[in-house]
Amino acid sequence: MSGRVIVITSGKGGVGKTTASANIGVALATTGVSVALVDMDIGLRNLDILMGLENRVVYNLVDVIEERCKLRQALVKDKRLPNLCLLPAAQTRDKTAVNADQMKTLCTELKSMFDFVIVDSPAGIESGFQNAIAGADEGVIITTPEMSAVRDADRIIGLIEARKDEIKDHRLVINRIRPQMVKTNDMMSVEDVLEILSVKLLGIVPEDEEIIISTNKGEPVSGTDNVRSGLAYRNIARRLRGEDVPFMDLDALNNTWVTKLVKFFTPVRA
Amino acid sequence: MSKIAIISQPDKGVLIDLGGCSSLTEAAHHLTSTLQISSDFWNGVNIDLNLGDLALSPDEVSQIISIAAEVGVKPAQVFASSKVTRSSLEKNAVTIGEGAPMKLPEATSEVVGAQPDDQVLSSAESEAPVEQVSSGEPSPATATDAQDTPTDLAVQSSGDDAATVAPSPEDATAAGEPPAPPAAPPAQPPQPVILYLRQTLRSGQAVSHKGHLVIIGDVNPGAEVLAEGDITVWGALRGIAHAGIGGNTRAEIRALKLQPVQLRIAHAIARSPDSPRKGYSSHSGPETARIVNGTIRISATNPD
Repeated sequence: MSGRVIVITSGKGGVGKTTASANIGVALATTGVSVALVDMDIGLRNLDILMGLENRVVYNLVDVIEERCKLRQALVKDKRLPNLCLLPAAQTRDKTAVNADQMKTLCTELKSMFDFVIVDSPAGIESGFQNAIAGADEGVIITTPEMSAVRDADRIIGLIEARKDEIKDHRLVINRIRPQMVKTNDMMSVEDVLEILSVKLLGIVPEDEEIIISTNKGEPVSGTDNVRSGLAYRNIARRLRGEDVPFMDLDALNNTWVTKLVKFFTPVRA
Repeated sequence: MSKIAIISQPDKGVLIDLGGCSSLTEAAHHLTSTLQISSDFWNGVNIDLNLGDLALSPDEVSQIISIAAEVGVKPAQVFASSKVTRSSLEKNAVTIGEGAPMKLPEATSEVVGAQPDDQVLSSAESEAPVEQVSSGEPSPATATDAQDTPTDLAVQSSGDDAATVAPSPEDATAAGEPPAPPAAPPAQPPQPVILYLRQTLRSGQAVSHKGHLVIIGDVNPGAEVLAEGDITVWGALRGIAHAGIGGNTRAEIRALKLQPVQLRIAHAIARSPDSPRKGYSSHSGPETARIVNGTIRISATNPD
């Protein structure tokens, strides 16, 4: 078996890399394929908390690389999905504990065990990022519709395109979009972002309070039904598997029963 | 290994080991930050230095000596394995240490993972047998792999700032530290060294110690405390604690607020339950974790 190594990256911090990694991982695993989530943010690990697996971590990525344990021992199985595993980062070490060659070896080994290997990259473009993309076959760039995030995403896309021999494909996810603000021209639209970045679009994720709740609970939203951001991540996972899924109609999100009711009672003028 | 280690030498005070540093600047930086813990902290303590295999010129040696002199420390003897450094030490009229300096023992064998199934912490010892939860990890096959953190008096910090260290109980009291009431039980022969640490350990910081470990402060999630003996936290224990490294199943972990992510004693591992502990509030008072019938149990700490 040779799986696909997909690195989730953004350049800017706080745009939702870790949230996207957790949700894409869960969404992919729900479709039945085997998935490994790799946290590369050594020293600032969070993915285990989002997955609700913090208390199960015994060994970590650095232990595997420094051969203190076998890879199989360090993989933490998800609470709900038996075909989903997490390889946690070390918390008491820093980015220099790993180098690019070691990451390549690790990714090759993981690829032979799983259909999908999702690597959560740290923010920045320094060694931590370089290590995270070292073994990747594909890239997913996360951005929010803000100028600063888009600028950083542009820089990252440049770095990824420079390695197109290794990273064959890269696509963009626009996160935390607020349809209402786009409508009133207070936020960049999907088209605006795509015009600047001119890159293939993988998905659009609307802003959702449920994300905050799920982060605190340690249960990614894509595992729950009836959550719009969860649906967006499930669509992303299907697109990653090669399915053709139409993009979410953001206007429809505004069309809740309350707005319909308001519209119904608003007199139509000729 | 850490850049700097502080090793307590039985009856001979403290050895500051700079053997992990690769350059003079690094050694100078770590020595300065360590010695500046407090100006009178090192008073009356016999201090030896180990320069490891650093090759230093006479000028550089005098630089190191003057760093120590700034806080009133005059090393009793200095160990060095490099010939260049030894001759530089002679030129500076510094006593060269005879024989080999004390070293941090190499990592202990058989640490974590001997117990394949992790257990959920039970709220009280009186409760039904600890709920066995199928392990999140594939069962560890080899348990002989060593822990990388050096044992004995080494404080590691992921940042550059050296952590505060108190070398031994005697020295600690001399420096104005109050003796912590719930100190280690005296019954254990031979008397292990106790490390008092007066600071809150934050995420990413790790402390390991060969004897008993007393922390006056909190241990936050993401921090790790490891000891061959008992671990006592005069505060909230919210991170990972591993007592009895090397296989001491009689080791205990106690804290004013016991809310750990994971507890490990000798080869046993217990993790926190996924839902909040039943019947537990932060006002529950001090609690002790120990091994009962091979599994980790928690009970209220009673003075006995």
